[in-house]
Amino acid sequence: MSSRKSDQSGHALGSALKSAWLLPALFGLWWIGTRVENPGVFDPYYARIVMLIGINITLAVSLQLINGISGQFSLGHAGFMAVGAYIGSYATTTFGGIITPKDDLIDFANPCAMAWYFICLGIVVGLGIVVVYGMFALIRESSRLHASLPGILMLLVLAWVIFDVSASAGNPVAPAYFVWSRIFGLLPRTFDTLMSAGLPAASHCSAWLPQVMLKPICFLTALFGGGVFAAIAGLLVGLPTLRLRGDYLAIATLGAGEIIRVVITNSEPLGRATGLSIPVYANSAGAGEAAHYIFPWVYGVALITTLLIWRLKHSAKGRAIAAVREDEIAAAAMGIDITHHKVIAFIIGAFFAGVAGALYGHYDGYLNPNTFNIMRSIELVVMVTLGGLGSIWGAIVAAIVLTLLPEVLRNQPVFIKESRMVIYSLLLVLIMICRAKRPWRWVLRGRRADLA
Amino acid sequence: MSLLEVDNICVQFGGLKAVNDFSFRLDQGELVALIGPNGAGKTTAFNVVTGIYTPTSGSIRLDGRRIDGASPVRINHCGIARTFQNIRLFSSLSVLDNVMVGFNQSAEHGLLGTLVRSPGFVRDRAKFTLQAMDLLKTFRLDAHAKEKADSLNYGDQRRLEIARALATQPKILLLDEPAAGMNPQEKTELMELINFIRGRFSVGIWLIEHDMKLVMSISQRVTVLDHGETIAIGTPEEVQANPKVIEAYLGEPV
Repeated sequence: MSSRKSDQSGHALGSALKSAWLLPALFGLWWIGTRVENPGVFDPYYARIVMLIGINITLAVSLQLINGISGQFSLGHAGFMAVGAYIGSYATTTFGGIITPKDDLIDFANPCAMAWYFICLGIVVGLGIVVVYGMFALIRESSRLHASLPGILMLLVLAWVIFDVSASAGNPVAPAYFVWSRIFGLLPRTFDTLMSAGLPAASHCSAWLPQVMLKPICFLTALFGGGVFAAIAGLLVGLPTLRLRGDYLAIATLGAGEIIRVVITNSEPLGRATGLSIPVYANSAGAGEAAHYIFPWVYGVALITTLLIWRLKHSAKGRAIAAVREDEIAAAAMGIDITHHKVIAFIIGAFFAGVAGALYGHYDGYLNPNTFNIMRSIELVVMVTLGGLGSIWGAIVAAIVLTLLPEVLRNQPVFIKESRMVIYSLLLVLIMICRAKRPWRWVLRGRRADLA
Repeated sequence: MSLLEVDNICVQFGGLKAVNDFSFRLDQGELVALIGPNGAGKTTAFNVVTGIYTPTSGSIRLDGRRIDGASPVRINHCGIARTFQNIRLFSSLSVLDNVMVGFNQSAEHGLLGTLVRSPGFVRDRAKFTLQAMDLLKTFRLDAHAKEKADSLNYGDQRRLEIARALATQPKILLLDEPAAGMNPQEKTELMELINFIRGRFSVGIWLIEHDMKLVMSISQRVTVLDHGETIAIGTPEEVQANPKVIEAYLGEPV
C-alpha cells in the first residue's frame, strides 16, 4: 500500500527506493557485481547465469507492459529482441572498434559514424514505410472506387514485379528484374550516398571525443540503435495486428516474430543461418571478460527499464492503457484513442526488447537466428504469466526464478539431472495450478498486483 | 440553433430498420428523456450519436458542426459523454483511477513528460487527483476512492459511471438506464443527483429510462420510440395522454 500513497505525493524514484525491495536488491547487485568483475573469483558459468538473469529481467518487464499492462497478448517478443540484437551487433562489428585476438590492440572506435549509420538507416527505412503506407492509405482513405485506382494499380505493379522477379531470378535482363532493381535499388543507393557523404565528418567528430569515452559511447549508441529499430519493427507489426484481439493477435505476432527470424536467416550481411560473431567484447578472453565489461550495462538497463515502465504504468498514460485493456468500447467513449495507446505500449515494449537483444549479442559474442525462435518468446510469456499479469515485480521475480531453475536442476544428482526438463515442466504446471491471481503472493505480501 | 441537432437519422442493419427518420433537439442545461418498449431502438439512437454506429442516412450536428460518422473518440472530444446500459467500468482499476481516466484528454504532458516526470506531469497529476476527488465527493464515492471499481455495490457503480462520464467535461451527457436495478430510495436519490449535476455542470442530459415516475418527474421533454419510429414528442403530460403511447408502451391506467 505504501507505493500507492507515495505515488500521489512523492517522487517516483524516491518511492521506489522507499519500497523495502529495492535496497536489498541493489545491495545484492553490487555484491554480485564485485564478484563478476573479477573473473578469477567468479566462474564464467555463473557469470553467464547472472548476465542472462539481467537480460531476462529487461525482457520480462518489457513484455509485461505489452501482455500484462496493456493486455495485448504478444508472442513475438523474441523477434523484437532479434532485431535489436542484430542491428546493434552489426553496427558494433562495423564501427565499434576491434580487439584483435593476437595482440589485444584496440582499433579506432567510431561512435559518430555509428550514429550516422543509424540515422541513414532510419531515413531509408522511414522512406520505405512512407511509400508503402502511403499506397495503402491511398486505397483506404478513398471512398469511391475510381479514386482508389492509382493505389490499386501501384499494388498490382508491385505484385507483378515481385512475382516476376522470383520467377526469373538470376536473369538480369528480365523486365521485372530491371524495374525491381530500379525501385528497390533506390533505397540502398540512397543509403550508400547518405552514408558516404556523412562518414568523413562523423569520423572527424569521433576524433574529437576523448579516447576513453569512445568505447562506452559506441556501446551505448549500439544499444540505443538496436532499441530504436526494434521499436520501428514494433510499430510496423503493431499497426496492422493490434486491431486483432486475443488468440488472433497472438497468432499474428507469432507470425511476425517468425518473419523477422526467417528474414535474418536469409540475409547475407547478417551471416544467414551460420550466425554473426561480434568479436569486440567477447572473444579476447572468453565470456568472463565480457561480463566484466557488460555487467553494469546489463543491470543498468534492467533498472532503467523497470523504472520507466513503472513510471508509465503509474501515470495518466498508463491508466489510459489499462482502461483500453479493461474495456475498449468504454475507453473509446471516454475519449481514449485505443490504437494510439496500444501501439505506444507495443513500441516501448519492443524498444526495451531490442536493447536487451543488443546486450545479449554483445555479451554472447555470437548471434544465431535460432536463438530467437518461438520457444524464446514462449519462455518470456511464461515468465510474465507466472509473475502475474500486470505485475512488474512479479515479472522480475519470475525472470530470476525461471532463469535459475534449469541451472539449479542441472547441478543435482544424476537422477534429477537427467530428467531436468521433465521436472522443470512439471514445476511450471504445478506453479500454474497452485497460483492464485498472483503466484508470488508470499513474496510480495500486501502489495496488490496492479500497484506493483 | 440547438446544441445537439439530430435530423432524420436512419440506421439499418441489413433488412432491419432499427431507427427510422429520427429527429431530436437538445439544449444546454436541458433534460430530455427517450422512452419506449424493449427493442424500440433507444440504445441504437444513443450508439449512433456517440459514433459506435454510423447512420445510414441523416445528419447529427453538435454546435453546428457535423459529427455523424466520426469515431467515438472524436465525438467524445467534441463534448458528448455517455454511460452504458450494462455497466462498463474499468473493473480492475480503482474508483479514483476510473474517474481520472476521463481527465486524460486535457493533459498537458506527453509521453516523454510521463517518463521523466516533468513539471507538467506533476502539475497535471495534482490537478487531476484534486478534480477527481471533487467529483467523487459530489457523487458521495470519495470514501471508496482506493477500492477496485468492481467491489462497489450496484448503485455506486452506476453513479461512478456517471462521474466518469462527467470527468471528460462534456456538453451533453447521455445516460442509458441509469436507475436500472436500483431500489426506490436509490432512485429518488439518483433523480436528485441528476437534477443537481444538470445545474452544477450545465450539461444537456439525454436519458433513457424505464421508470416512468422518474422520467415524468424530472424531464422537460419526452421522446417515445416504438419499432424505430418516433411516435410522440412533447412534455411529460402530453406524452402521457397520447393514445399511441398508451397503446405501445404505457398501457391503460388501471
